[in-house]
Parts: sequence; structure tokens; C-alpha cells
Amino acid sequence: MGRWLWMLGGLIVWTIHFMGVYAIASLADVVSRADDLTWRMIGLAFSGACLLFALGLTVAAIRRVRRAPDPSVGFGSQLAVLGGALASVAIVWQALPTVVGY
Amino acid sequence: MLLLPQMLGARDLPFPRLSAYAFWAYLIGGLAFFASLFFGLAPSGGWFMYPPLSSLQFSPGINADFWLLGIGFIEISAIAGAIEIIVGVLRNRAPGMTLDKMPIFAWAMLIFACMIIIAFPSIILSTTLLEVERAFGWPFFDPLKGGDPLLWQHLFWFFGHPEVYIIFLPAAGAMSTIVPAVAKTPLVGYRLVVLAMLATGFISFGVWAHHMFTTGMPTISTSFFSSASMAVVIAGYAAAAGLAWASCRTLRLDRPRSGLFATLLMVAAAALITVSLGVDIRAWLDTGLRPEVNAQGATVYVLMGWQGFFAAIVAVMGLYIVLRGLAGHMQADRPTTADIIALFIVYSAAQGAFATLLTRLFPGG
Repeated sequence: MGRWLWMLGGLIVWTIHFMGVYAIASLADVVSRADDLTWRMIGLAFSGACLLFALGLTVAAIRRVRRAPDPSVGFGSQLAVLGGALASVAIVWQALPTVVGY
Repeated sequence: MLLLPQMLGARDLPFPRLSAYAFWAYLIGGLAFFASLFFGLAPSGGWFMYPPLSSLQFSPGINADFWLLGIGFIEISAIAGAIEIIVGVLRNRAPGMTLDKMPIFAWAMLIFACMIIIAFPSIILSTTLLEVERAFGWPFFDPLKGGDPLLWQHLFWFFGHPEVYIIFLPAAGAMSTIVPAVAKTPLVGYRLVVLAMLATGFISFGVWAHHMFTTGMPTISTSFFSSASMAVVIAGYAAAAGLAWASCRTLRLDRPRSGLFATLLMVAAAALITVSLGVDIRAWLDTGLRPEVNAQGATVYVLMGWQGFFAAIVAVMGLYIVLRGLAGHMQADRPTTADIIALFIVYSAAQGAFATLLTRLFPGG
């Protein structure tokens, strides 16, 4: 299980980010307004944390790939690099609505 | 189920009785579902079966009940099959077949099966709730009794949209197997294709509310779904791009190959174009046209691309074998004029059928 979590880490972070920003906006909609500035900043901070985590995973995976003696050994880490990079871009993309407000 | 053990080097999949259970559950559910058409009992609540259209008040009789029970059986069958596939791929591979050596089709089936496990309980839950509401008057979707019709939409589309990719992925895996097999070289971009399929599997669960833009959800919330919808298009294109890259790098037209397989490759290319069109059109329609046109158009295009792909294989192969057999030689170095004409006919028919279907569904829309 740990190997799969490592391999899919970036995509799992993306999933947590998506559910998080959706939950924050939904909660804001109940408490005040979904696009309220304070709540948007909370969402943005959450996005920032997720982005840092995804980038951290990517960097860690890159280091592990470089240390791998044989390219075939590091398949899981290679997927972790690609997934982490993709998740980082997707998180930035998905954070844009919280920046612009809609 | 038939191909996987061959590809994995396994004697069989691990739970034959579970496979049999899935088959019989599918047969019973499918009969309840499709036979209703022949007895005048087809549901009339639209293919989303949105409450209140599907409630007892607006869908009296047992039509909707047939649909609900049939769908329930079919989804249980799918989950049973998915468990079989996941365990089979993860536990029954031949010794030495590590994840990076696994056939790309097996990867596609693994992701497909995981998606079924996550998505299908949602539709089982929603159909059960609706049936209980219809049978016993419980208030799940009726706002007058404290229910919420939007609950159905969320549950239905949490299943309904990933379902598009659940159908997409096995065919994408089949193509990624066909192209290198025809080219007689290993798949180039294996890791990218695996990543694209994984990303499609993940992100497709973050797009369900793009079917619900007119329900009054806050704009910022719909924007999250909108951006995920664009992201999944990119993931889908990455799958296609990885495939295209692989085929460009590996396809050597000067190598002898069966004309049969060259034709297969052409059909695969036609399916790719159709699906790309479907994904593209969906992204465009998501921006604000009528939601039902969006859903129908995208679904028909994507489904037609893949299901039409398999139907087209049978049609083109049959035609090809007859023509080549009549001509007296079954091998060729490259596609013949007959191959190209056959492909053109099949592809045009598919596009024509799509246009006709949309025109019929939405006259003046």
C-alpha cells in the first residue's frame, strides 16, 4: 500500500485539494457568501499548502529516481515525479477561481 | 475477462464464481432494463431520471421501478467484475511481471476497475433511495417532505461523469496495445500513457457538477468543476498525445505487416479523431450552452468514438477479409484502396449517425 501511496501521491494531493476547496466554498456559502474574500483567502492558503506538498513530493521523487541504479527499478518514483508535476500544475490552475473570485 | 489472463500470463482470473455471479446479475438486470422496452414499460423520466420527473407523481406505474431495479443489478454486476479484475491484475500476474512490464491494456483495466469501485456505489445508493421513496413514500428527493432533488443530481453525476471515462479507458488501453503491435515495436511513452490514464481516472471524479451549472450552485464552486473539466481534457489529450507520439516514433511503414492490421490501425486513428472531437466539443459546450445538449453531445461523441471503434473493427475486418479473400491474397505491405474506402464509409456513417441522433434529440436546439 505504501508503494501505491508513493506512486500516486501527487494525484492524491490533487484529490484532497479539489475536495478541500469545494468544501471550503460550500461552507462559506452556508456561513456567509461562497465568494467572500476571507473564505477565498482561506481557500487560497489551502491551495498553497497543497501546492507545496505536491512540489515537495515531486522533488523527493526526482531525488529517488536519480539514486535508482536501474531505470526499471524506479518506475514507481518516475510515476511519482510525473504525477506530482501534473498535480502541481492542476492545483495552480484550480486555485485561480479563488484568486479572481468566481 | 477473456484477454486479461492471457496478457498477465495467468491461468485464469482469481474468482471464477464471482465472474459467474457478475454475468448472471448482469443478465437479470439487463433483462429488466431492456425488456421493459418491448412491454411498453420503458421509463419516461429522461435518461438522467431526475426527480421529480421520476417520482411517483410524474412517473406513475412500474416503468421507473423496472429501470431502478435493472440499474441496481447491473451496477452490482459491474462491481463484482471490477473486484475480479483488480485482484486478477494485482495478484495473478506471472512471476517477474512488475508494474513497469505490465501490458498497457492491463493498466487501463486496473484503473477502469478502481473507478467502478468508487463511482458505482453512488448510483446504487441513488437508485435505492429513489425506489424506497417511490415504494414507501420516504422523503429523499421531495422538497415538500424535506428532501432535496439536487441530492439525486449529485449522486447520479458522481457516477455518471466518471462513467464516460470508465468506458473510455479500456478502449484507450486497447488502442495503446494495437498501435505498437502493428508497428512491431515496444510502446514508446509507456510511462506517460500510464500517467495520462491515472490522471484521467483521478480528475474525472472532480467534474460531476459541470452537468449542474444551471442548478444555482455558487459560481466559485462551479468554477472549480469547470477548471477540473479543462484539466481532464488535458489529461485525455495527454493519453492521445502519448499514443500519437508512440506511433510516430515507432511506426515503420517500410516493415512488412499484414494489411489486416494496417486497416485496424486506420480504424484506431479514426476512433481517436472522433473522441478528440467529442472531448473538444464538450469543453466548448461546457462554457454555457444548454446542459442537456452538452451532456448528450459529449456522451454520444465519446461513446460513439469507442463503441463505434469496436463495431467498426468488426465491420471493416469483415469487409476486408471478404475483399482480400476474393482477390486471392491475404497479405499486403500497406493499406489498399479498398481499406481506405471501407474506413471512410464506416467513419462517415458514425459521424452521420451522431448528427442524426443530436438532431432527433434536440429538434431546433
